[in-house]
Amino acid sequence: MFQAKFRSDILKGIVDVVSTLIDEAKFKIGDNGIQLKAVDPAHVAMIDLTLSKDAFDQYSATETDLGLDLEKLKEVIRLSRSGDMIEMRQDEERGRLVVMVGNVTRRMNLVSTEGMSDPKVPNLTLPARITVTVDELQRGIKAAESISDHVALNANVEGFEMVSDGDTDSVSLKLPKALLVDLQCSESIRSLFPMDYFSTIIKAIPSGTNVSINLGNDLPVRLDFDIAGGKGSVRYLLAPRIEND
Amino acid sequence: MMADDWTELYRPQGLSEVVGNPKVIKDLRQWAISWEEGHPVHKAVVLMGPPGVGKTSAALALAKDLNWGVVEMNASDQRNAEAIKRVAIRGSRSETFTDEGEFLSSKDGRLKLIILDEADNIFGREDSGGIPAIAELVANTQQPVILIVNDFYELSRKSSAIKNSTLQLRVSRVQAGTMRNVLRRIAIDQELEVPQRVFETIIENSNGDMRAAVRDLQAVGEGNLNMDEDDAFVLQSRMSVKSMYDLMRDILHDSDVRRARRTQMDVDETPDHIMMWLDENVPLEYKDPEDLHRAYLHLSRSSMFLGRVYRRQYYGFWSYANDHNVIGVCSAKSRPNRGWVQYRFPSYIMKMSRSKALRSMRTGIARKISEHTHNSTRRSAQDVLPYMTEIFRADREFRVSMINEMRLSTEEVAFILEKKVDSSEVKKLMIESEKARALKERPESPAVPAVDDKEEKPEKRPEPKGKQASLFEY
Repeated sequence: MFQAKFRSDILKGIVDVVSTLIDEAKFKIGDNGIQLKAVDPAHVAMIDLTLSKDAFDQYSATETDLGLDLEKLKEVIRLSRSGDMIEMRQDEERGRLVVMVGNVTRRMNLVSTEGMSDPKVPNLTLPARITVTVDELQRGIKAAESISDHVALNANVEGFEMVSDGDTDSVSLKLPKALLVDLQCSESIRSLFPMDYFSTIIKAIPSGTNVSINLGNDLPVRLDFDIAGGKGSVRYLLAPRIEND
Repeated sequence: MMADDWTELYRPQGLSEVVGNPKVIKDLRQWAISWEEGHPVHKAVVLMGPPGVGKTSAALALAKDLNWGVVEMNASDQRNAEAIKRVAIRGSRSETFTDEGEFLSSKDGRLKLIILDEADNIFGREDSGGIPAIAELVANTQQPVILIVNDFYELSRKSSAIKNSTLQLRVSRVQAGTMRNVLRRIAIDQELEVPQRVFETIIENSNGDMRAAVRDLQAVGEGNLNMDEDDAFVLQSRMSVKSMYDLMRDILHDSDVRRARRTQMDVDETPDHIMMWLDENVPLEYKDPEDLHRAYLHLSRSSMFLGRVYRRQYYGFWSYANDHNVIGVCSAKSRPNRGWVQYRFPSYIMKMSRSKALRSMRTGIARKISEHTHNSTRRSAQDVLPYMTEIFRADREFRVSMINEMRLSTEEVAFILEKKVDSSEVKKLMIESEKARALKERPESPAVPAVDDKEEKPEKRPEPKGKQASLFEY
């Protein structure tokens, strides 16, 4: 059973982030909130999202899985203005989700969650941790996107650097310690990542959010950030690119 | 348990469980080891063979044996150039998270196997980018790739790159003895009592398709757990989907006219099709000139009736054509041929379908010529195209200007030059003509400042929304 009422930007925050990776998602509904874990079809990135029931204006649920088509959720979000209330109710008999935005009622078929995986977030030792507002990164991404299809994330005791080397041009964004919210790094660290994944996730994070970038040498990067005003959190892991030798 | 699909339930869990084709399994294993060691000669393998013989099973078993991740794109997924880029190509450049959320690093030999199932029918007509996308995947992948095809000819015909840079392994049909062992094992596991007769019928009907055999066994098993001998006959009639090859055997090899007639009714084929098959295969069975004479007399009668069907659109004549085809040809032999004959697919149909793309390409080019020469399409194809082809091959300037003048596509250029679409000559030529076109459309030196552009813009506005080129035409 699932029944909830919440502001539309809460839903938008989730869908924006999750839809960078997958088209259909399995939301695990529990007594205390919602959880979602998924690996993208190319097996390059994964996401672990939790949202406490405090993020909702109204929330009552017993444990269940909801398989939802994210494209349909986007349509619902488009129906609403920021600040509008959205009401959702699971119709267990018909296997549907009933969504109400203002006077509009939309009934959508649920997607079968059979075959959707339940990944566990791997335990990785990532020695560097950089915390920065996402806006700083977004500027760098904008500059680097068209340059190359990969991006190197570097960190050392002095700060953080994002470098994109193309065939002819290159772009780098340097953020010295003073511009960072926090820096924990004792050695020099570098990993290379696919640009398209990195840029879409960075662009999907709402402006003003603090993002923790956890890095290692040739290891995945883990981005941790809060959603829904601190009532939810996201862990996003991106596998490094294999470098041509 | 019963509701499960047995073909999934009993899918091999490792290469050692894959039945048949030991050479292929060995080569596959060696290829995988070369990847783990970091220096594969071939980045991709093509597994080709008929349906149901274990191509996908072998690929999945390989990944399981080596603890690799798997990205599988099969026919049920949406697949086109875009999807191949989004999933397969992106996945092929990076390290891996498995479905369980484990991180695999290629440095530790933990790779991701990218499987494109049914790679020969990925591309519908609307999607022409499919083959280049596969070629790109195969050329630049940093992870092992397996392409699974029924018909490699389709794929290799369009791209020499795919043909030349992959390791091709041919998977053959599963032999009856091997099949019997597998089916027995499954029956024991399911606590099924299956009479020998039923096994044999299933195996015979499957024609080497292991998956079909397992499905049939499941169908048998789910209906009735304790079968007696009669079930085999029920099964036989249920599964009597007869093929053209059965029909050929009944007509040409055997002498039972009635049975041949029954088989013809079971086979879902039109008389004109059957006639073409007979036309191809009669001389393989009938050696006596008298027999041949009589058989072809019936075929020619059949052909006359089919002509009448076509002209009058009266399908009642089909039954006469069928009688000549089946009864006529079957009874034309004085004595049956004893030897075994491998029947052939009608070469006429094969030639026509192979040349279909070429014929339509030819018509397309002729149509373009006819627009410029004010000829009919047929005239252009007959009278102009041969000369144009010769000059086109000989004269480089002519080539470039013709490409731009007639807007010939890469495929059309390749056709005229008789080269593959992705060959370097064609590519170079297209780039060259692209440059020539750009030069032509911008005759003034590029130093002309952008300001000019702006000044002229208001003048251009009122014109109908057109090509950029119109700006420079006056």
